[in-house]
Amino acid sequence: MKPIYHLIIVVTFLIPYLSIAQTKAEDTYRKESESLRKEIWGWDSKKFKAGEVSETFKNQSKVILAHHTELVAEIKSKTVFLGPFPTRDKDQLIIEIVREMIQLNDKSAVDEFSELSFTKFQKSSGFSGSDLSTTYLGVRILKPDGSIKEVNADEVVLTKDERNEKKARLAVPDLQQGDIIDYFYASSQKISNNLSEKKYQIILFDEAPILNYTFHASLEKKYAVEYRSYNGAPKLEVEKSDDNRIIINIEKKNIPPIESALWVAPAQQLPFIRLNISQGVSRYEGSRMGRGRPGEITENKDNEAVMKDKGKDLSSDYYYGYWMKDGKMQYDKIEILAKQKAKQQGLDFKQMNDEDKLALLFYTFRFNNLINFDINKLERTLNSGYYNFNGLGFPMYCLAKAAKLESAILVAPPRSGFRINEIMDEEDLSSYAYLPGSNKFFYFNSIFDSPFSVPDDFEGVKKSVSVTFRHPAMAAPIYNLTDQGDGISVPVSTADKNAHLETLTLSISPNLSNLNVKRKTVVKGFMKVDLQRRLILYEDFYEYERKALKDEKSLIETLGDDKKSKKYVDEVKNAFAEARKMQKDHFETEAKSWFNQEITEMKNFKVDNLGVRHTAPDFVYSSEFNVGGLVKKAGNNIILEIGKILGEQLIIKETQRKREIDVHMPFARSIENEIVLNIPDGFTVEGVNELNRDINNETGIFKVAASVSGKTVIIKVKKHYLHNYEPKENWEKMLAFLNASNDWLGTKLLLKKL
Amino acid sequence: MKRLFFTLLFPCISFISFGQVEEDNNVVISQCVRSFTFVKGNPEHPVQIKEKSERTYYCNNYRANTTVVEFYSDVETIDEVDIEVSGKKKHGIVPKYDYYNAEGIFYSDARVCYFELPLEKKGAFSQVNINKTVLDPKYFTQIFFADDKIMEDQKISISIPSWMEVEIKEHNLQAYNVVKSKREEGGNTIYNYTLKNTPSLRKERAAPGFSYYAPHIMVLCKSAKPQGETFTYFKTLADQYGWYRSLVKQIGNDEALVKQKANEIVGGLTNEEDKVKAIYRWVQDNIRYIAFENGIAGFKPEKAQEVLKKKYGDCKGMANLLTEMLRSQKIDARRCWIGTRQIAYDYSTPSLSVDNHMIAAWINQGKPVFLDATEKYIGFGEVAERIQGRQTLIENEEQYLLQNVPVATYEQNTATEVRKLTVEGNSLKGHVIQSWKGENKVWMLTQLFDIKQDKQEMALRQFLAEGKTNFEITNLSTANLDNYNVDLKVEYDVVWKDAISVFGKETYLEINNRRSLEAMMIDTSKRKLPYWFYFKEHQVFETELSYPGNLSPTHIPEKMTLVRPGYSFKGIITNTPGKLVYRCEVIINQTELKQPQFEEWNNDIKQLNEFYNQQVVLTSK
Repeated sequence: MKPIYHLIIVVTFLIPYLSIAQTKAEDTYRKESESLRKEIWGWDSKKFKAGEVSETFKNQSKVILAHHTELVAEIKSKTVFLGPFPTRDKDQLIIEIVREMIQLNDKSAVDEFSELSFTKFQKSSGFSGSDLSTTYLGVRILKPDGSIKEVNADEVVLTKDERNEKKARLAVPDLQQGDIIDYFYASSQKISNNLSEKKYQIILFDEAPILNYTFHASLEKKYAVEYRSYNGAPKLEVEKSDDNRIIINIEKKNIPPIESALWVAPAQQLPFIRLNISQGVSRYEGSRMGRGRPGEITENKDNEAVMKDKGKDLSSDYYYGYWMKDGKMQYDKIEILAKQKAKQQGLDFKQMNDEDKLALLFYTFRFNNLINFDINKLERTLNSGYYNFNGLGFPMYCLAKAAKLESAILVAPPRSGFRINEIMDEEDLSSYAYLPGSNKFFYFNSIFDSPFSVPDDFEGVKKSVSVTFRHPAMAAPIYNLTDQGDGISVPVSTADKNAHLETLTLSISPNLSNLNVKRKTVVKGFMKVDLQRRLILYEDFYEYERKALKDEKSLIETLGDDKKSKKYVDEVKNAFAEARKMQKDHFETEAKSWFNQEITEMKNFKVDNLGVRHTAPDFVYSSEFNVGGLVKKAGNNIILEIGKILGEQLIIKETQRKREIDVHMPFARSIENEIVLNIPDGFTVEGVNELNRDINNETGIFKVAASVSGKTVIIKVKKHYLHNYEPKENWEKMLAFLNASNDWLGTKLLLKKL
Repeated sequence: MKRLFFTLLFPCISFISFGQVEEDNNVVISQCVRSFTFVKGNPEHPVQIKEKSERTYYCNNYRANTTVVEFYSDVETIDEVDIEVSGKKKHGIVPKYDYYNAEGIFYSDARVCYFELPLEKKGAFSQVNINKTVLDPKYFTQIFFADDKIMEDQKISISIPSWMEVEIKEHNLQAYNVVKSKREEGGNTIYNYTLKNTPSLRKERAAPGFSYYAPHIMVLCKSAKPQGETFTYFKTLADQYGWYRSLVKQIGNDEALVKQKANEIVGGLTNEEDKVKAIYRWVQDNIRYIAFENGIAGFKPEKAQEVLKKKYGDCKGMANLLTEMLRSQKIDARRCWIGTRQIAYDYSTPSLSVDNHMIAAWINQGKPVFLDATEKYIGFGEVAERIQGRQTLIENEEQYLLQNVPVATYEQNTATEVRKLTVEGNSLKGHVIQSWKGENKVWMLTQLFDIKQDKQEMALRQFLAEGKTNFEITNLSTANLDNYNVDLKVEYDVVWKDAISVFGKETYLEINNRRSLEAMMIDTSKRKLPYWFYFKEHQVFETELSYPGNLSPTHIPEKMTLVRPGYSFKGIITNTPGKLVYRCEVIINQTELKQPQFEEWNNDIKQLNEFYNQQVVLTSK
């Protein structure tokens, strides 16, 4: 392939005119667009000459005959004056061209490519200058008879036409089944004074087969480059040209299609390459910022270097967020509040053990900072449950430290993320606060979390780093305040800890057509949060915590006692009443989705325990309703489709029955039902013994034990996923208990008229 | 599809209140004053309509933000937006102006001005005043008297100068206690409408279009003489047709190019009907429907040669190409304007709001055969529910013809499933043939061809098995996937595991696992609008079940027959020695269920489900 970047750079320099004179800019854009198309269609590459698609792929919806990404990056320096002071501005010009040639074998593939959308122009202004981005589109269609039809891709319609942003859409003409579409997006970005890394992922898998995949980059010599191949992806070829430009290549042929599979950890199982480029900096700046020097090429960056970078960021957080007076003050305030709460509970904070202190700090922080009532953000407050947090590792650490509790931050990649020795960025890492010694975590991923449970994405993490902080006076640079040591091996929860337990009392309705269900649900561990979000009202959460912390007055009373807030008590009451009115719908919707049946006559629904405290961790709720469709008349007798009471079970699709990669699940878990069926007067029951099942292997359990006791049938159903991970060799064993639970859906009982 | 009807658009935005059981009265429009005044314009737009709206929003219960949306377009400008929050002009709100991306529309000139309006506390007022101009009376067609919010006090005035001829036609006002008046003032006729406590517009799934139930008026602009010259808009339907025809004349179709392609398609065919079928099928298969609604292109069809070249077009482009291709073969074909069933009006009121679609017609021995190529998989001679019975304005040189599209019976859409099964252990085993006609076939093919071809067979098997692993399908074959003029058919062998439950000497089975309409109970506490089925339905499910000689039926459910004016459900099981024959037929022959019918409908669905639920009992001898 011949180099193309000279032309593109010329194009890029013309971009600023776009924002000056609309007509002239459009004219310029068309001309540049035309030049680009001429250049790109002229690439001397065999792979972009359409050939015959192998018979193997004829049945595929589409076949990617060729994919090429061309990346060109330049850095230009110039002197500008900031007031009277001269300074060096650095502009980056990054050009990325992605060209694909795709055989479209069916209507679904034609539909996918019949409309193309892109951001034609974007300008964002900042303190250090404006960033500009322009994108050009080229499309041509190769007909089965060998003719080539070029689309006038400038004839787009604008779906956004603002001065700083223009979004465009093209309806691709004359595109039909059997055609080959050959298209490219070429974008050029001008970025001013931006030292951040530009991150690229070279993805070497797709749902469609890829016959030829190439990537070529040519970077100005001042760039620093880091890269790594994952999961069997080929090695990136990186070399320097005679003029010291950094040249990167990759080529891969005949990539088979992947099935979109169940329970996959892409970072550990699928092939791809990560490439980070950034402006090279001096050794001093590099050491501070974690960036390479100009021209530095790093393959497989040492993970300890990434940990160091993370340490620098945490140091900075520590210095400004805790060491500085204003930073620590917010944590001191929580401690003072916690002491008050302890007193309200008849406790002396000083006399409490460390874990109890931490728990009280944790709950006080939640009450004061996460579920605090804010009339000016009423909607946000009422929907507090729907917000996610990132664990709040650093604030949680500070919270403990301010109260003089020995704590640390555990840093590691999430269990299904990158392997620790393959991390490239700080973003690859999560961090959670914990108590060394007892190894207990305290974190917030949502407001429903309790202290001392293990975060689900850290379960089973074997290698980690434990971070604590030194006094700034003891270590001069503020970005080097961490002490990093070996972390802990994080335990994995067992299936019984993440459980959904249903206790169902079933009665046939007097007209023998419906099933009345009295339901009590206990949910544990990681199974809780989705249900808590749907069923717990903000008002109930607030009041539960308020009572637990022994605050005397309810929220409404507190608001009413204050001169300023008194005036809006009525509207708060109205908003709470509105939310409560909707709760029945939420219970109904949850029951419908769990049982996969029509639910009627929902009543007596309530949350019995919120499951938001470590001392009462289970989320418990109950309700009563009718389920239609399970009771079937058979003359004088009744057939009860008892199996369907389990609700929807996971169905493994035909294409998923064979498995060639290991199984990564979120966590071990169990679903259990204890069903008590009241036999109606005048009936006996048959078929109870036939309900029994016992599939038990190293991956999971499906067990049913059914018996008759007087006028009731008692059925205990257990389905356990024993681990969060299974090697692919165990897939058949998993299928055994998964299929058994599916088959059990068809079981029935006969209620026979005496 | 033609231009969007801007005044109708605002309810299309999803607001919280639409899905709620009870009307949301937290934020209401306590006062809405709107005035529409016809004024003399400029040489380009000699007559314009100035709209001033002043809406006061009031917070009843608790503070909240509400989204204010105002539409405009190439022919309708927003001149001024003035916002006050709790009486303050300083609020930092900057309205955003954007293209409106309607689902299914590739591009239109519809634009939207929107912003979040705070109601700062219970009892707070916020005010929004907007001035707009409609540049051409042709496009000023409707004024709706409802919003997405409850409007407590609403005043609308329309000021018509003596040089402007306008007719006002009222729709759905009777239920809203409207006070009307008409007076003359300074040479203008002023219509006033006052409404109190107008409920918010509801949006429900499978419901009629707004024009059927929302209070509104049609503004029929007939002519104007602002200076010396008279401008005629749509005084009569002939005027409207005349305008449409003038646009058709401007198209500039390349007859030679169109003929060349048409010749290629009909090569070897001699019969006129065969030629029509071939060309219609070609357009269905080869022209992608993409909706454009920008400016005059919202009304003027694209050149036939352009549609031919691009292989895509909107309904007008497709109808025009089809018409021109047929004409090139000396077949009498016409372009037809039509309003789909979502529009409550017909051509008795000449207005651009009357129609929204274009199809073609082949005039066969003086009778039109309607051809809608946007219905990709519909067969020749079949018509979609959305245009059945609708009045069409058929091109006829300088005149026009008005005819109604024929109404098809439910049999156009028959779907049948015939099973021949035997008992094997706890399973039923045998052969199944399923077929689909009309709109049931269209639905099936649309779903199927949206799936990647390498996944189609698996998806079809999953669909037929309804995702159940105990319904094992083998030897699946399909017929007529690519011939829409005949029934779509599939055949397969099935092993339906655990379909039979054996308890002692008795065998229980439920024959019908399809259970058509099983989940169609209407929640009367939530549904306030009529229910519109997408098309007339006809489902026939038959099973011939051979059972072993050692079994004999000891309980066969009684037959069920429910016949109502709009629908019927029938189910029967008969026994001949060694064989049970099950037949269930569901017919929906009227696609509208009105609210008073809901209770009876629910009772009937309950009975239908009871029939489905009943078990056949076979006992060992």
